[in-house]
Amino acid sequence: MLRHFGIDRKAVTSTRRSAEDADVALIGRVAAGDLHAFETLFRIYHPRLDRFLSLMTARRTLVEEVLNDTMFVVWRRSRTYNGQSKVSTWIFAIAYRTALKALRDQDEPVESDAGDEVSSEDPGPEQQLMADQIRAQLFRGLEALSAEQRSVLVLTYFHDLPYNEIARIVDCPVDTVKTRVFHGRRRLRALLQADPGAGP
Amino acid sequence: MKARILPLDSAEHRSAQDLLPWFVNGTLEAAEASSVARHIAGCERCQKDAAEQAELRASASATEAAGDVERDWAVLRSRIEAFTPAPTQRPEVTTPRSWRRWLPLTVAIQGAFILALVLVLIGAPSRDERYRALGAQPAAAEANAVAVFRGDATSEQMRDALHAVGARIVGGPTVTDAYLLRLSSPTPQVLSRLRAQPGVLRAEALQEEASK
Repeated sequence: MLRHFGIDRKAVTSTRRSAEDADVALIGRVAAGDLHAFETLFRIYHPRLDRFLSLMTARRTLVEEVLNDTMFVVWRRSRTYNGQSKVSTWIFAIAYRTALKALRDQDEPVESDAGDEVSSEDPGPEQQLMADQIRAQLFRGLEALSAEQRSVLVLTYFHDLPYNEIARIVDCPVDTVKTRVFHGRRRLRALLQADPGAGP
Repeated sequence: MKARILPLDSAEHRSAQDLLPWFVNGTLEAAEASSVARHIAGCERCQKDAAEQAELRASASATEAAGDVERDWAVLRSRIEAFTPAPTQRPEVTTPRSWRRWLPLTVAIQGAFILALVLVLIGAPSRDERYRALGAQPAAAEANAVAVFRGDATSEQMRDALHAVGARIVGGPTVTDAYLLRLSSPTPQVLSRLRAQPGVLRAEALQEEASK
């Protein structure tokens, strides 16, 4: 049945395990002050954090700032990583807290540009254009959710993380994560159906 | 396979509904995954929900990161270079046993030498005749922010940007063209204002934020 959804469990598990081992080796070198190892870690996590923070904050300028702050904390606090969670969980938890704090610190309303990022002015192939429209619509729906609800949906569907890791990242019980995702996706579905930009 | 008829509010259905997102993203443990798969086989509503969530996941996975990794790395590296020391542990200094008994005498001689030096300096004229270059300040020590200006920024734009937030340059440019700044109050609001200035590419505080 999983294969029906395009997922090969064994392949996914094996790939994840080797990536985790590589992460642990890298963070050990970073803790010893190895800047080259840190650059490698930065390049691995940059696209993942960028995607997560783009959707969580919905503001391009905030993404750069939070990503920089997150990785700066990773560099400074690498020695405090104790191996009790995966390196990715530890880094995403820092990113989540940093993003929440940045959102709270925003005292001026800022026009969101998340929808613009995916729309293209150049007329591309029809399929690409439709996919862009669906994503733009999806981003508009996500923006309407709370940061807490949005982040669990993003970590589930955009980052394919298991529920127990998400619970560690957002620092709440597993059942709360399940409830947030359940209600979040129901609300998202309702928002997408009500979106005037929705296709036929 | 013969479909079983299950009431939609059964415990099994509710549990499957809770787990569907992670069934779809393939991260459930084997036992949970097969339990959900068994339920889905006989539940039309869960089949529809799972298909809908698989579609959501597919549109999500097509999203690409928009950030510029090279530029972001350059800014972060400048910040790290400006913020010393690196997170390396200070190597533990071990004193050979044979030296330990001479240590008190060495310290006493050093102390006497320092005292003599202080007495000589007190007696000397107080004029500071040392040559001091204009840029020779202990700049990096007092920096609390780092900024990168655009390649095409004029000196006027740079000056205006600094004036706008009450900043002064205390160091740089570093190898990554970043300048170390002293802001009277390096709050997120002030940094946002600095970033909004024409000619400013990036600006970051040197203090750690939000680390727990």
